[in-house]
Amino acid sequence: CNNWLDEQPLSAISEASFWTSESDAMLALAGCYRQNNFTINSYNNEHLILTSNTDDSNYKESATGDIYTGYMRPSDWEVVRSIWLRAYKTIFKANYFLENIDRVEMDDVKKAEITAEVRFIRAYEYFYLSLMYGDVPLITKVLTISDANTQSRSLLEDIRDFCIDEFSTASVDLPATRPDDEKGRILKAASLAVKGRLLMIEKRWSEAASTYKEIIDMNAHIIDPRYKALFEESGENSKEIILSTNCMTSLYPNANNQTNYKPQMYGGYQECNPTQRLIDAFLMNDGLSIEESSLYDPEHPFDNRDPRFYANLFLPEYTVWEGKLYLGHPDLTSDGIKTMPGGTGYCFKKFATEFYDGGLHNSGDDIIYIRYAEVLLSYLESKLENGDNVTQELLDQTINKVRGREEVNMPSVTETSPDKLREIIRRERRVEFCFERHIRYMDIRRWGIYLEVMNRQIYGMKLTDDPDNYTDYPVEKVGKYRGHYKAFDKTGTITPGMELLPIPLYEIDINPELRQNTGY
Amino acid sequence: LDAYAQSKRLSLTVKNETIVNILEEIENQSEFHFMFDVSRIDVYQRKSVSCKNQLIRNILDQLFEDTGITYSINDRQVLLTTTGKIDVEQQKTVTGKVTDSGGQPLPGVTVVVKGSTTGTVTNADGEYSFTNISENATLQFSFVGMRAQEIVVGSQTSINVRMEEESIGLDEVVAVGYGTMKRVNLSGSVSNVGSKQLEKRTVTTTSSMLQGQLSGVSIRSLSGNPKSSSATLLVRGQGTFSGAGNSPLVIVDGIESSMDNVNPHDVESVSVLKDASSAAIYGSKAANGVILITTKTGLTGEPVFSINSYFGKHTPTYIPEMVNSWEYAMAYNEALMNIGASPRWTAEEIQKFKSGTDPNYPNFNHMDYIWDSGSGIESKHNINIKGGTFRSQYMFSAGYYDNQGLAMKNSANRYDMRLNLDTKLRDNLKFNVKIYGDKYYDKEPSSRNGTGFSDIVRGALRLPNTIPGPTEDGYYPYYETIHPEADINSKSFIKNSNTFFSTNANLSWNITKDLEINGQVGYNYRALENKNYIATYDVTPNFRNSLNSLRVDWLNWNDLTMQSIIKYNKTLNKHAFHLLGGVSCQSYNHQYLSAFRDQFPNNELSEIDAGATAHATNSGSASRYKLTSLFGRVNYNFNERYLFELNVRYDGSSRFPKENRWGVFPSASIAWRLSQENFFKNILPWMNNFKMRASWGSLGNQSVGNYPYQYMISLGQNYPFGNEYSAGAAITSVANKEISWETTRITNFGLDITTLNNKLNFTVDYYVKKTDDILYNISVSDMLGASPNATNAGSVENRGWDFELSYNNAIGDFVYGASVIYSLTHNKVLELYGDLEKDIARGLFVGHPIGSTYGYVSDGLFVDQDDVEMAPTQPFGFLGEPGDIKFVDLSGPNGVPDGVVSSTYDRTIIGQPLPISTYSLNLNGKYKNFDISLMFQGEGGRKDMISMSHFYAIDNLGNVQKWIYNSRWTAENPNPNADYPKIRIVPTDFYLSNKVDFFVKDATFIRLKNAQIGYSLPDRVLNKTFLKRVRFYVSGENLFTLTNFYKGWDPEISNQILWYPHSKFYAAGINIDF
Repeated sequence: CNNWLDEQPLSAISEASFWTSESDAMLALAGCYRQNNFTINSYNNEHLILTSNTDDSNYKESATGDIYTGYMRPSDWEVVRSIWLRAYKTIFKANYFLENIDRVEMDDVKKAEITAEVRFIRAYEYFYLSLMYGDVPLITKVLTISDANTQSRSLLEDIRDFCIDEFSTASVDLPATRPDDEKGRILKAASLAVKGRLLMIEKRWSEAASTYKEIIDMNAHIIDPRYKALFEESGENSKEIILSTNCMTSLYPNANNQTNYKPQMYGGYQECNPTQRLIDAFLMNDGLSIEESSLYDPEHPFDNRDPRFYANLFLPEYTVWEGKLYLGHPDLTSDGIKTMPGGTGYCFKKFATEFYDGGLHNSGDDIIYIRYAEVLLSYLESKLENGDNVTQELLDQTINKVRGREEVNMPSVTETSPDKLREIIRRERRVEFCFERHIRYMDIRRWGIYLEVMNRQIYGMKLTDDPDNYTDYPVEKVGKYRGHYKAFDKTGTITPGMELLPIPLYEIDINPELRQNTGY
Repeated sequence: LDAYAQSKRLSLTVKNETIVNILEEIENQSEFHFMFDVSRIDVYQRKSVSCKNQLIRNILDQLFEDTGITYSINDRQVLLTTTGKIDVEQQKTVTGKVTDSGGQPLPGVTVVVKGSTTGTVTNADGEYSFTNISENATLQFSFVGMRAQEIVVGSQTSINVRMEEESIGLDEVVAVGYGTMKRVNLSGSVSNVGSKQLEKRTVTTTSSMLQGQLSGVSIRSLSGNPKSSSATLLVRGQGTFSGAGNSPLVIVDGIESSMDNVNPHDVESVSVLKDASSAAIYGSKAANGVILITTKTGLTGEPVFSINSYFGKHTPTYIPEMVNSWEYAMAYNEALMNIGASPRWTAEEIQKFKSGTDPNYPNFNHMDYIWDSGSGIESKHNINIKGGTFRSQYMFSAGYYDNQGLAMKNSANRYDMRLNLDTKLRDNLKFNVKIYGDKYYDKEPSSRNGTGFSDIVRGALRLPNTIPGPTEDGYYPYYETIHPEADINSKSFIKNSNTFFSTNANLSWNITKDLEINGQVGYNYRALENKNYIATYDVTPNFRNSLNSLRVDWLNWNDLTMQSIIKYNKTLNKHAFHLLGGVSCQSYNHQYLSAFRDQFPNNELSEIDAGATAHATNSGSASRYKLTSLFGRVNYNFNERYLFELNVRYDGSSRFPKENRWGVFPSASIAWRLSQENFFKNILPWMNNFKMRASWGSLGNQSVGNYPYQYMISLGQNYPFGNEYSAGAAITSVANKEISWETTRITNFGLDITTLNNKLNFTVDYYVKKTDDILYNISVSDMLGASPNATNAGSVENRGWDFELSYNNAIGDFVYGASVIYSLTHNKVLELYGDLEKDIARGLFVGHPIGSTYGYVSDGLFVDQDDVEMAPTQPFGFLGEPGDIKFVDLSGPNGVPDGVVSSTYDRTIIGQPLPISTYSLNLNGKYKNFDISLMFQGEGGRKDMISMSHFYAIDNLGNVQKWIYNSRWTAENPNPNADYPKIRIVPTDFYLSNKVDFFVKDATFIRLKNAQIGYSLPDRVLNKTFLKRVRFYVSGENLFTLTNFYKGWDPEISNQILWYPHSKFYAAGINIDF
């Protein structure tokens, strides 16, 4: 009778029979790819919050609450705990993979390649964790329950060193290019590019420059002549893309691109509101800023701008989308909707596809993490900060390639004086990567300007030319932003420490020895 | 009198068949009924008969030729006698009439000559007759609901009997594990309720019907949604915090099943085995108590038809009232100003809302739109036919109900059918078969997210009245992501179709008078088809949900039970023994299949084939587990005075590893009926029954995942490589190779008292129920990276009291009864894992009840700025102004208040979601043709908050409840005792993830659960018709509630995520018997 009671799982594999063949290894590899921090397909508020933890955008609730007391509180699930949980889930899968892969008999080259992929996946999680939470426990083996409940935080340097080593090691066995049927799997450039980010954060400029040079010398990537299409399904095979989530309609759909950012009048959630300062950061199409250019007309502020301006943004009473003029004025009652509090009148367009008719939560749009444009701009920045001589040739090979792509075609940069060039590079990054995953968030922190740019009044669109006699909505009375909507005042609300997420309260409730970040 | 015999013609052709079977066949074809004494008449001799259209006499003459059997016909009764032997005893004829306590004739009463199979049934006039009956014979009269009587024939030739309605009490037989027992002989703790008390309720499910009927059983109905109208049950509190759950084991007619797959009208009785001695015979599944449901069986005699129908209407008990549009605009402005932002609406706009002339400034109540959209009409119809011959009885029933929700397109309906057949194959061989099937449908409208009606409800709760309703040209408001009116009017739906089928066959053989062997096979099959359709529809002129899709899930569960029992009952002088042994094997199977497609050509097509294949997906899974058991019982009583019982069960489960697979679950109980002692009778002669009981036993709970001890590599962890969705696998849960069941030990002391001429019954039980080795999913750091399977750790104790008091009496024509049930349970976690003192995420704290709410403590609201400055540093920077909740500094790193309110040191237990007491009061009365019953029911001691984000004002920019608006703190009226703090815009779900006792409220309530008034047509009217009983009634459910809980929220709800108001239900119905 005892044998009658022996029941084996009917729809899962028993561990005892796993780790034998190459196909087992490939199953485990796909398992490691699934839903890690660069392959999530439903990122919902996370991206919005991180974007709003910059000076580029205002999350709609941050207008009235405040993201730091909102999503960025220790008890939060949607952002604070979910990034953490996803990271350590992936780390567990990777550790388990790396502890067992040697049991599999398969071709050594292939084995080395997939091992490198998993090491990248694990190191990427630590890169991301350290970016978000600072020092976190560094776990490189499968834990038991009691081990997991008694971890303490490792030194930040140790985590970064670990990541840099791992990315270096992984890049050796990763291929520079992949055939179409391997799209979505990690490329050598990705491993080097994340390593470069870490080196830049650590201000190890010469190492960063040589890491980026290594990518450039591979000649595996290009600057695509297209810009807007890169962020839509049609451009997802571009050689410019180095790291992205490989989304597929229905099976592994992008749940957010076609819903979160679009204005409500097009069925979107309009959750992020670009700030006036971001609007103003876009140059005129003569290559000059709005302050300097003669093309700038305050009466028609949206005319004659950098083409990326129109690719990235919905502009009130200016952008025509799906045949209809976009309206963003706060007293709008079209369709009975008043614009959200904290709305600025602007919306992000980058990831929206015009005339999209698929499922709103079910698009095939890839989610871009790293593009070759970043490699070029980071290379230039590393060279500059390292004190290397910046030549016109270097500018032409880097920044001018990025802004000179056919669809953008902005005038070339010729400035080589370090201080001025630094500002140009920073503005270029802000505009080029506008709203792309955590790049601005990372940049303002490593440039040391986070507290400065965050503690400001957030302005929205211009509502009146006569602010003194205007009473409908609060508007700025003086200065550069005279007549602009005062969307939200963050002055004095951002204190040191807030650039990091808190450690999830769930973890501290289990393990009170796990120190909380300052300010929470 | 022989008219029937003179007219009824039969055809019969049998070859070499036993006489008994031939007689049975005649009985089947006709209304004739044969009576004989097997000890005298050889009915097992074989004969052949061939007749066509013959009168009964001709057939019988042919049949009994050369058999030594003669017969006499009395109307439809045929008495067989033998010509062979000459009986030495004097034979005589006895006739009589049976009446009820009111003197009305009782048809259908079974009259049996004790110790024989000779018997008859009273006719329509309550009359019976026997011929050739011995003076020594004893006649037994029995009838359902009446106390059985025995009368010695002696010299009487006419015996008239007046049957008394059975009072609750001494002779009552109740179902116990694998058998029945007289209530007086019980030594364990069993609550029992019969169909008479249950039939009053106008409910659709058996679980809701039991509410307030059983002591020690707490039943809560969580939602008014017709789709999920079943209620949750707890027997003697929540015994465990494990994933294994707290659901009692439900046994229907001896086979494990589910309570809501029984039509409430088919229920004959329900027993709840509360203590370990009663339940231990069910071993590793019994820890949460066992509920035994017995369905009705047929009766001997003419068919009796019962029809029961009602129609009624639901209206919500409570629905939160929302503010008007102008109030919302003002509240919203205030909330903005309270955080230092500028108002959103100008005074002119607010005036526009008030005047209502501008369609852009409406006052549209979205809640009313949703909750007024359905009819709320419910109707239910049942027919029940009972009857049978002396050898075979049948009970057939069929039922139908249809429940239209409070919202449109939201409904449930069910069809069910049952056949219970009992047959004596031979005198010592009984066979019964029960066949039951039901088909249950429910449906609800859905949103574009495919999450069903709850999404629409949340939308309606959230949308302020400033957002207009549907427009005349067919468009809808759209606010943020929500548009409940567009969703409810769209063709999106979720539909479930449930099929349940069960068969159950039981053969029992009395090898001797005392020894019985019994085999039973039961098979349950349940299939669920779920369809989730998202339609295309226009929301606004600019926005259309442009992609339709369908997901279909097919699930089925099937369970097979095979069991065999041997019973030995022996009474020697005053010693009575009941022995039982058994073996059972059970296998549980589950399968799942799911398919998805989109791009359907239109919204009318909702079969999977109609969708495009481009995005088609499918998935599936299966699982199985098994259980093997041996069990036994020894029951002994001396003169029904000293009672002893031992039970043991030995269980093996496939869910556990070989080493930990088998478990033993013993129990013992004793009882002493003092009322049987002479000394007691002398002192307290008016005490009809006085019994003291004590029991102890051990039970198990094994409801964990099916393969918890095996490391499983889950499939389906896929990721796209190229354009292929590459198969992936990963460990998602960590196995526990040492896992075994959790064990519950219950010690029980009880007292049963019956007095005042059996009119007053009182039962009290005190118990200590302790669960150890709980299958505990300990909160593990996310850094483990996978979810661990349960570990056997931790223990929980429930101590409690169950009281039952009932009184029944009659004063002249006025018959009345009252009963009170009161249960008290104190639940406490004794131990967690190792020396862990708290597991905050699971609400577990040593020394406190399971599921305790953990959060901050408040001390009212900040009065003014001085108050703020005096207070400790508040935990949330953006709070802490006059009118905000004042958080209290309880402790600090050094164990004393440190001037800072922090999440680490200043949270404590602030609420308990489990009731401490449950109570009910049943009153019923009958005067002549009128009857009335009232049932009050309630819960005490639950302290809970509303776990729904839209409860809180302007949460996620949502609406504001009227009571909040009316009693909030404002700068103009800075009341430090206001019911709601200063309204401000807080982050979504802020108060749900940062709980504070300010929002925890006592959910104690008592409600008039049911009231019913009935009128039965008098006999003088009925006598002229074929009808036996006609009763009209009106009934109401949830008529009123007394509670201090939040205004607009039913205190019975607890799962607010799927909030759907409970309903008042007014119905009118009719019962007809003929």
